[in-house]
Amino acid sequence: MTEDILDTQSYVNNSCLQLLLQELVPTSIRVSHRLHDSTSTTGASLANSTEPTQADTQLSSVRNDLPGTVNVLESSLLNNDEVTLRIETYGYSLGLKLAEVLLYKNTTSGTKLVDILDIMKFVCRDVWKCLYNKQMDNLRTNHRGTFVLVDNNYKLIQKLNSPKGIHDTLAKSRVYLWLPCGIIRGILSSFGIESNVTAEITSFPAVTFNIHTGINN
Amino acid sequence: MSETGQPATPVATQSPPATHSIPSTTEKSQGSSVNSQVSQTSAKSKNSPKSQTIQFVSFISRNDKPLYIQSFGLVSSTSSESDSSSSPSFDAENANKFLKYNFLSHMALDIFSSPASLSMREQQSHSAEAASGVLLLFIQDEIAVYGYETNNGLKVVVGISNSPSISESNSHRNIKNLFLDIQKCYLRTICNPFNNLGSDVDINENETILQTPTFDTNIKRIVNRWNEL
Repeated sequence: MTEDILDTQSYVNNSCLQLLLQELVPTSIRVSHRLHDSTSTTGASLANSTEPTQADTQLSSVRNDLPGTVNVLESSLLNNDEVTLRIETYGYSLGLKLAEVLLYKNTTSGTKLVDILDIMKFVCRDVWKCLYNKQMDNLRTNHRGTFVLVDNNYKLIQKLNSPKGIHDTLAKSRVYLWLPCGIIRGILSSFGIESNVTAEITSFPAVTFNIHTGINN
Repeated sequence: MSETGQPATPVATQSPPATHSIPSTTEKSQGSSVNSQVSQTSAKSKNSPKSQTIQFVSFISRNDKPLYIQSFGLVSSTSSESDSSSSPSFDAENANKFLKYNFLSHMALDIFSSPASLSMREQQSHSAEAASGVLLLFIQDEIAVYGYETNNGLKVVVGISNSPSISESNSHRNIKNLFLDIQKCYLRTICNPFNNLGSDVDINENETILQTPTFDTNIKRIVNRWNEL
């Protein structure tokens, strides 16, 4: 049988991941805007979907949101619940599938994951290594279901920089962090564990993930 | 027919027709009985009695919910064309077999969580044996039932007829590869982006996610390939 991709591929393609992230956030914002506008006012005159998009086509109702620009991130809906929920849900479905595939690869090497601490170690070591080619820097727990994962140089946002200064960078990077939150929640959910994952930027580009589960150990 | 062919014939007719040594998915014409004799002789001459066929494959979720079951080697009608007016006895036999495999899968669940098998799996994980994770759960009605549990809690149960007379590491490795192939097939279906996996909206969707014809054909292909090994 020909080489199976499940047996050969071991890392997530970094370029694909970056491209996905680049498209994910603006698309979520634009979708929210579209939904917002169609319910409130009587349909803003956005570009007709059958016309080809040109360089000066407004993509959404955000000011100056033209193709190839990042002005969409100036939107007031940037940290809207709906947008972040959508991004997090993408991460969630990604996490579910990623967990299954990575566990298949670990059948020969790793031991079984029995308790929640093993699962968190699996996230810190294998998942992070597969996604970002480095492991999580710190894992803390209070042994009562809360875990704190620290990545001192988070790859997805370390290259982000806004010309308006660090505050603007922080505000805009926060949105992107919902994707890995969803991934972690998806991985935990594939083990049958309900959880609540949030992330915060402690000092750019260090990121802290707070995970609350209902497990008491 | 050679000498070794003659004694093989009465054995073949006594066992239920579904457990012929060749995968009985093809139609049963006159030629197939000749084929079975030939394959018996060739098997004996090669001295590799791989006369096992897979009877069923089933998946059970981590919450002990049945996800999927497919059975093989069901009796087909004697006419070569698909005959909708097959005799009722064949349908009843197929239904009985299917029910039996369902029961066997349920029995497998008990063994999975029994302390005896847990300790056995513990031992297996310590010894670096190639067949770790795959357990012969039990043997019932000439069907050996093997089980395999992934790290995620997904349980795969496979029933193989004509339990092996030898249990060398060779056949163990083959069974382990079989389970890995089945798991890969499952992974491909899971990773399908058109599946609504794990959405909170529709919990029921998770249970039917494997009930697609593509999955059926893929599993069937794996089974046929393993049967021919």
